[in-house]
Formats: sequence, C-alpha cells, structure tokens
Amino acid sequence: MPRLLGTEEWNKAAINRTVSYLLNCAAEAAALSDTFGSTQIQDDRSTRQEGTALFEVRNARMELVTEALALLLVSDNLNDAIRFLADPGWILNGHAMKDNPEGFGTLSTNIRQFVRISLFVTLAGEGQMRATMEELAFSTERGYLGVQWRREAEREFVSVLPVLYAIAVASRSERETIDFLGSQITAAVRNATHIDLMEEPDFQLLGIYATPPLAQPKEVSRQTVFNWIDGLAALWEMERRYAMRVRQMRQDTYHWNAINPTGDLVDWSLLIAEVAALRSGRSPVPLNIEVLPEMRFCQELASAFAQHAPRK
Amino acid sequence: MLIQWCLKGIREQASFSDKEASALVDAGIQSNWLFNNQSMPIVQAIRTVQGLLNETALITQVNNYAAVRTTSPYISLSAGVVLRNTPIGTRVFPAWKSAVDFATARGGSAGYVFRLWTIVAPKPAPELINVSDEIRNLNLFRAAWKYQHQGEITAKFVIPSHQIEYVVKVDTDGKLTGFRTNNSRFVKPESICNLLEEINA
Repeated sequence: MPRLLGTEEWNKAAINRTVSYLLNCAAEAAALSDTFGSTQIQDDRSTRQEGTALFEVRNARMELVTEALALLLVSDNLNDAIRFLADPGWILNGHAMKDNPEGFGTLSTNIRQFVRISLFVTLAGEGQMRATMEELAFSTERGYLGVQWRREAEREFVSVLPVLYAIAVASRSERETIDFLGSQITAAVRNATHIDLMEEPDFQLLGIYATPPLAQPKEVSRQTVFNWIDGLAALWEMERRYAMRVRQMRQDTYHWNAINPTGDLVDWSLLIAEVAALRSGRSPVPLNIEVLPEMRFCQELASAFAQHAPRK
Repeated sequence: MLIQWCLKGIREQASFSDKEASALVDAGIQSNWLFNNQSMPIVQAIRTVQGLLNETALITQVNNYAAVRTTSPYISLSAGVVLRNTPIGTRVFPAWKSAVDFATARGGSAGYVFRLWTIVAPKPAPELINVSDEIRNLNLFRAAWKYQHQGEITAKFVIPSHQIEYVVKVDTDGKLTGFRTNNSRFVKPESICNLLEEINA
C-alpha cells in the first residue's frame, strides 16, 4: 500500500498515539470548546441559537478528525482510515456511530461540514449527492445531510464547487447533479467577482472527467481536447504543489519528527479529483513518465480508493 | 490597540506540575529567556531583552522555534484562526486546539492551559516589549504563513499575573482533569476598554 516519503521515520506506536489523541480531542471538543470559549460567546449564550454552538464544535471536530485521517493515510493504514472515513459520527458526535439503527439521521449542516463529510464518505465508497437550485444533499444508507445554497455565503460555495463536482463524479451521483454542478462552475468562471478563485488549478479540472480525446479522436470537439489538456495541466500543477508542500513540511524536522507537520499531509481536493477520474473510467495520469515520489504517493492512494467504488 | 483573549499551553514535567502551574498564575508567565536568566537584576534584564527584540528574532520564534526555544524573549500564545476560501471550504482552527496540542505534546503528556489577555498592536511592533504581535495576520506578518493555522499571537518578556484568568489541566486524552486554579488578582480586560462613562457628579 502507498506510504508518503518521510513517514517511514515515524514509529507505529507514536502514530497510533497521535491518532488516538486527535480522536480523543474530537470526542472532548464540546467540553474543551465550552471551557475555553470566549467570554463574549458565553455571555451571549442565552440568546444564541443552539445550532450555532453545535456548528462551532463540529468545525473543531472536523479538523481534528481530518488530521487523524491524514496521518493514517500517509502511513499505510488505509483500512483503518476507511473505517473512520465511512463514519460521519466522528465529526457529527465525536464518536463512532457503530451500529446505531438510526444512523446519523437527517441533518441540516453548513457547507464546509457538508463538503468534508460527503468527501470522506465518498472516498469510503458510500453515498450519493443530489444538487438542485435550492439544496445540496448527500445520502447514504445510514443518513441524510442537507445544506441550503445561501447567498450570503456564496463565495464559500464557489470555492468548494470543484470539490463538490469531484465528489458527485466519484460517488457516481445522478447525471443531473453532475451537470448542475458543472454549470455552476462554468457560471462562476464567467463571473469576474471570483477571478482570484478561478486562477486556482482546481477550477480548470473539469476536462479530466471528459471522454479521453486521444482514445476517440474523431468523436470529440476541439474544445473538449483543449479542456482535457487544461484539466491534465491543472492536475499536474496540483500534484506538484502538493509535493512541494510536503517537502517543505519535511524540512521542518522539529515538527516533522514529532509527527506534528505544519500543514495538511493529504491534499483532499487533489485526492478526490483523482479518485473521481479513476472511478469514472478515466486515467488522470495518461503518460507513463517519472514523477516526484510525493506525486506518485497521491496517485497510488487515489488508485487504492478507486477500488472502493460505490455500488451503482 | 486591541485587547485579545489568548490561550497558552505548557507541558507537565517533573519540574512543572500542579504546584508550579498555580504559582505561575501568581507570578506571571515568563519567556524562556527570562526563565533562564532569573538571577539577572531586573534593570539589566529589561535592558538586555529590549536589545533582543527585533523582527528577525520574532519571525525566528515562529518559523524556527527549535533554534531559540531556550533563549527567546518571546512567548507564543494562541487565539485561533479562520482560513477562508480553501478548496474544501472555510477552515476554523480554535485557539484551544493549538493550546492543548502544545500542553500535551499531542497526547504525549498531561499539560496546562492558561487563559489570559494581552494588548495587541494593530501594526507590527516586534521591538516593543509591552505589546504583543498578531502573527496570525498575514497582512502584517507574511513571513509567518507556514504556521498560520496555529493562530499565534506573540507576547514578549512576561505575561503579567493580573492578565491571567485561570489555568486548567488537560490529560493526554484531551480530557479536562478537574484541576483548575483561578487567579484572585485577575483584572478583567474591560477595565482598560476605551468606552468611558460620562461624569455626572
């Protein structure tokens, strides 16, 4: 199984201890947040909606669980990671759902929690997304997550559109949902308001999910070919950036050796894009050329996840 | 000037346990430089530390802490941070996450988290001993981007006792142990708020 270069130096017991610590903190997030929460929030608690505090605790849990998952994935613990990925209970409640017959129920959430949970569950090969003008929804056999499109948070919605699209493709969601999200990306690209976001390679990825033009050169338009090339170039750029980030983190030996890297060990948007391409029958890496070991790790991890494809 | 609530995590060790943590609430939180130069006369210490405070030293405290951990006149605090518009959405890193990470060495030992307030300069002021710097603000400190998710505020020399509200203890599993020392001498930051009452008498 894939292992990120440099993590061989970490011993198994230390990795397990750190993962346990992060998950324990996720379990304790409500108590810690309550104790250390700002006076302003505590003073105002009586007038706040209960849901606001809940969302804040879930945001904190989400980062802790994400960090724990990344540690498992880079250190050759894919099966353990999949168990956590498949269980939204860790983010929603701070503990595993196990065999709760009610699953995680029907929940309304915010966009960042929706993205993270649906991404994780999709990697584990479960669930499907549905998107309409009014609502985004993600359902599995164990529950239903929903989030309303909100104008005041539009920019955050725009920033996650490429990941939502990849989740929809990777979860083999209905064509209408994929087309709807694709149209939202196209509209966002045309909107000069978000020009800084559009410069990110994530927004140029759509072409990699299209029919490989080299396989059927007579049946595709010139534009499709250009999009495909743009997509590959964007993916290459994302992989390259990931490799550079990991190398930079590794250079900080003080933090790296303490299994406390200074950034994300997994690029989740890159990973889900590659998994989506593979699960939809495309190879995001068409050329058999030598790449940096960190890029190769990401490709191999995506291949491993592609085998956990959702049932249609 | 801004007044900022912060958290400070300190690991439990053989030489730093419940008694010492409570004593710190009374004595104030010292920078490592001060801790290692206890015998220096105060006038000389202040003069020396003022000579050590500069932008390079501040950025080194953040970006290469290992190199200055026993000699730095700076004190790293956490106030949390929000990172906007990432590909997976806005990310919120609460102050307690960094503080508990530091306090427990990420599950390696128990530790202590102090809640305190400090005066933060709205612009970079690495040389000024009596105000803190908002390192997490990339508009002010671009060189500190690598550790932005730690939400750091950097104080200098000493955090006075009157600005420390309490200390609690966190175990290796992130659970609060129940140990807590409140500071009877704590002065609320509202006492220096710039909202003034009118004079009526």
